[in-house]
Amino acid sequence: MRPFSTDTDTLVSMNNREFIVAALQGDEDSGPFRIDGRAPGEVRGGGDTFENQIEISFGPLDGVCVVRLGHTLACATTTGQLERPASAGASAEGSLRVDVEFSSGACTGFARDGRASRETRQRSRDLGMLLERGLKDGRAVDVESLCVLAGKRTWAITCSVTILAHDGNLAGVASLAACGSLMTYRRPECSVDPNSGIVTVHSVDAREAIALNMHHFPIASTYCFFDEAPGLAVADPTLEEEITADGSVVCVVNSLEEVCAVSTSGNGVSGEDVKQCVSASVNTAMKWTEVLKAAAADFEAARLANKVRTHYDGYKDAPDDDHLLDLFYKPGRDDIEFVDDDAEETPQSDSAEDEDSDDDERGEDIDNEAAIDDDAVVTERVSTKKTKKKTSEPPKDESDEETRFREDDDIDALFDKAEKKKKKKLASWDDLPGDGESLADAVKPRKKLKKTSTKSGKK
Amino acid sequence: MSSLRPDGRSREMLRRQRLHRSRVPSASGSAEYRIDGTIVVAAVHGPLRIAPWREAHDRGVIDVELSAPGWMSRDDQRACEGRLRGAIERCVELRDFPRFGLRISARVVSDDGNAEAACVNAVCCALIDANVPMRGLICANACALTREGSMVIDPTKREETEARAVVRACALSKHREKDEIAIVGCSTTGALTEKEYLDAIAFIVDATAAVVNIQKKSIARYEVHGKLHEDEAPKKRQNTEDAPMEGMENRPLG
Repeated sequence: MRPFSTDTDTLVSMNNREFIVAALQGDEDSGPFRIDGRAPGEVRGGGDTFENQIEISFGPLDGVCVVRLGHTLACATTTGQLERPASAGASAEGSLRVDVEFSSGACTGFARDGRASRETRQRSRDLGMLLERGLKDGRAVDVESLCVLAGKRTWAITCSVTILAHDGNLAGVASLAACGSLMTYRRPECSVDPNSGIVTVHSVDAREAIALNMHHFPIASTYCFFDEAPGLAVADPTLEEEITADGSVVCVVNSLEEVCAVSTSGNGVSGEDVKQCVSASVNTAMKWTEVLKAAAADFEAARLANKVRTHYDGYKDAPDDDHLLDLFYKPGRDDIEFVDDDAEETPQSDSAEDEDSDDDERGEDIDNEAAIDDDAVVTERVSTKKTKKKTSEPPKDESDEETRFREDDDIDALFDKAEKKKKKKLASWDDLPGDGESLADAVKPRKKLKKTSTKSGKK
Repeated sequence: MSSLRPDGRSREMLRRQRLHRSRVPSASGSAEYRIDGTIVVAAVHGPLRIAPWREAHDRGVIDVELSAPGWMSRDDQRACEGRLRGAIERCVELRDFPRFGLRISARVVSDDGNAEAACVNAVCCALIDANVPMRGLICANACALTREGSMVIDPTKREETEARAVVRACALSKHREKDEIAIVGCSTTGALTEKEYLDAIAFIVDATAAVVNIQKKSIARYEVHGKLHEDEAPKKRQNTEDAPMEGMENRPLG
């Protein structure tokens, strides 16, 4: 049985399999090559294309890590609980568990069977065992510091890793995610009352949470072997290469050149090949540990910066993409039928927009018959706006025409015209008394009313 | 006058939401939905052939898997799966793929409050990404009733645990029918009076308008740029502080 790939997996056609194998055998002039252009010993993370990138991101919360290696995606979260230690022998240590789960979204094979199928559960358990061996037995995490009260209370840390997307080298991505998650996890601080023996767990507000003490970071690498190309170890295989391969080796190594765990499956692999894999995986571990540490340092820096917050600043770099909503509501869409309310609402809300842009949109959609009604509604609204503007002007013109017509005939009209003009002339700022400098001058003096009625003075 | 919450938001302000579509390349559709600290990755496979004893002759079958190790207990996960399933069955056109099945998996990567709503939103975006025929867009949100008696939208984890009651509701916004919004799922934690419950539902329905905008923008963006373009479409703040309150007063409850 091949590791981490079974018959129920994604189907790879015979043509693809033959091509992969033939490419690895190579010709006389060109050596072996792989379908994604890497060298057989080359690991993902070196290139610029999406398939060749490594991306480690730490979530806003502590202990959350998402790792992407090409198309493979895994996430890990760590939680801790205060428990009674399991055995009397290990009473002065905490415990560490690694739970690996394959999400059904990871590949079509898993989707067909589901999370609860025996096959998937078996494989996830195997991977979890491997990572636990690397972390626990390899003494990567200092479990003695997890003891609070010997024999009574110790911390049980559980790291849950989920494989979200499967494109080969699940062990590598899962180990990176687990290490990243354990690096940034912080457990609450406890204090023990010496007299009564009561353990108090302090909340995160009261006392700063403590990070786990990690000695080293065990990182796994997968190598595949093909019967047709003996002695050739294909490093960090993709899903198709894994399914096509006959044997494989997974080495869990740390950057201090210590081997934490080795697992082989499939056809037997010679001892020389295993040695070669182990030495190659040390280089990979060193490279990836650097990337991991750099990403964790960035996260720690951001964490300190986020500590003090006076206002909510989540929107400070939000791009302005409201134009997409207008695109969504474009009348030319066939699949979404809109009630007329939507079509009428958009011109109203965008009254500040130029009418030119509306014309352009309508121009494009003229062919679409379904949009004609909406367009008619839109044009009606626009035209009513325009006519409203015009109606305010005519009355003035008409009155001028009338007075001009009557000027020759009617003298009374002349007086009327003069009165109208007088009435129309509104007082402006220039008419105020005073020179405009002081407010007191601008205010008209109050006319004192005399008891004896006299003719009113100024108007 | 609304007093500010511990993280600087007002009562009716939502946190910034981010959407990253096609997160899992090998799935039919997938989406990663982030609300600040809450991250959910959802993937959709399908329509797939399923085991013969599970087939339905006239409609498709939906399978939902939710995984939130460390954030939710197993019982909560199963209950949440059931609610998600109910909401999706209302939203997806099951008659379009009889005898087939749709497998939806969601993983709560981290939970800083409002995780169930993020699951629903992520699943809806994953369904959009997978081009599954849907009747409308589902979006969800949560509203917490604090000890002081005020209602607070989009609570953080701390607000959720300290609140007297939390109401989570999921709404389906259709376009083809007269009534625009239908509530397809609701759950409460804690005890509330009837008036508080109805107020909370109205509040949540108002807030879902913002979420629906993200989904619509994402649809429009992908039509313009194509599916492989990496997407990050954050939401606009819910107008001003006055607008949501106005909307609530004018809208009849229920």
